[in-house]
Amino acid sequence: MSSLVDLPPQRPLPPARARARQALLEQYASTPVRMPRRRRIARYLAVTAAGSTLLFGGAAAAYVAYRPASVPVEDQTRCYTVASLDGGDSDFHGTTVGRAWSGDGQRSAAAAVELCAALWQQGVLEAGAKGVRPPEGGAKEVGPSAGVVPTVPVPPLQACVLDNGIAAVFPGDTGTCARLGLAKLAG
Amino acid sequence: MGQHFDPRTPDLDLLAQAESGTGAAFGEIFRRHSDAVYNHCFRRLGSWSSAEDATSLVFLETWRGRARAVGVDGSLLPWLLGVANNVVRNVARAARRYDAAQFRLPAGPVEPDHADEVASRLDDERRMREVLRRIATLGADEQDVVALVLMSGLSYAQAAVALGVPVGTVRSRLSRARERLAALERAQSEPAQSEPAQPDPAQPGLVPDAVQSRPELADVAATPRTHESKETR
Repeated sequence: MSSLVDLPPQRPLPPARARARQALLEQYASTPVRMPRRRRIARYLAVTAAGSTLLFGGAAAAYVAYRPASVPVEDQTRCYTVASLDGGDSDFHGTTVGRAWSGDGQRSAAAAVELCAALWQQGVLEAGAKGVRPPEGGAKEVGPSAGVVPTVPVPPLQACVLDNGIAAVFPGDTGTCARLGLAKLAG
Repeated sequence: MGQHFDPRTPDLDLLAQAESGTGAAFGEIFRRHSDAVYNHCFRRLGSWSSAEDATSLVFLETWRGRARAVGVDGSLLPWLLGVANNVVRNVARAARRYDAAQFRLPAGPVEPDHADEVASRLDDERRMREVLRRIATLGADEQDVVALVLMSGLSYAQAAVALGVPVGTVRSRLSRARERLAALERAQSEPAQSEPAQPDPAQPGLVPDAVQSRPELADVAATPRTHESKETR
């Protein structure tokens, strides 16, 4: 029991890793969850009933009430690993993360770039990769004896807006958004 | 991560915001409590690296079970530590629910790793394993209460929320745990006094050097206060 009064000191999560984990959790919490099968069936029946109501009642508002909820595009930011739109929305080179808001509540290019830069720094993003880097991906071993190399270099990043309104951060120069036919994200 | 939240916003309100699609609100809950969860997991696992992965799992499991979450005075921390108790009991099972990429980061250090820091963390782990070896003599329920109240400083009421049991049960489990640990301490000290030249090689470290050199610590079993919350005693 004596050891209980001699617990090791508390320590914080390493800050950079904590930020990366926070970003992953935000992404996870922002991802719409596929409902369990029973709930999907129940929802299907509910929607069918609503459809009947529409047919016979002519209440268009019912559709609005029952239409599937989705995360607003304003809540999403994509961190691309190449300056390319290949792969469309489902198989693009990069990953989707949570919001990129500035302190005044407005979506901003600086906040989006900062968010993606943190993932690059952690090695979570890798040039040309789809999704995040898997843990078995052979992270660079940087031990104390090898000198202090705290982060992975971050390429120059540009924040653009996709046609569907989602913020997208690409590696590239200031002309990247224009070359991809996209508008720049303000701020 | 770019969004700022009022620090007075209760955790449950943040959870509601996250539920409505604001993932950053859940990130704010992580920012507030990740260190406490990290240290609690370390005290249950004895490894800083395992504690780091377990911390992410705790938040993923909390998100998964958010409909059942309970706040205490606006804080989710007791609930999170209760989830942590379940996660550390079977890290592998909890991890299987999620893609590895969802909770594990590349193993390479991304912080400046100084030799002193590495040595300190290794020493932490050695000391913690010693504590865990002692606590392992308790039942699982008693271990949970000891970890929450004596190590992480929750009040009895907060521990009751974390464990989903009445406050009286927390009190009785803790009392039982203290008695058993005190009995263990006595059992270890008696042979040590009668046969000081023959330490048991099968149980290295059960009588730490710190105790042998500091007789005043021999009596702490009855009053382990250092990490205890002052509330509701």
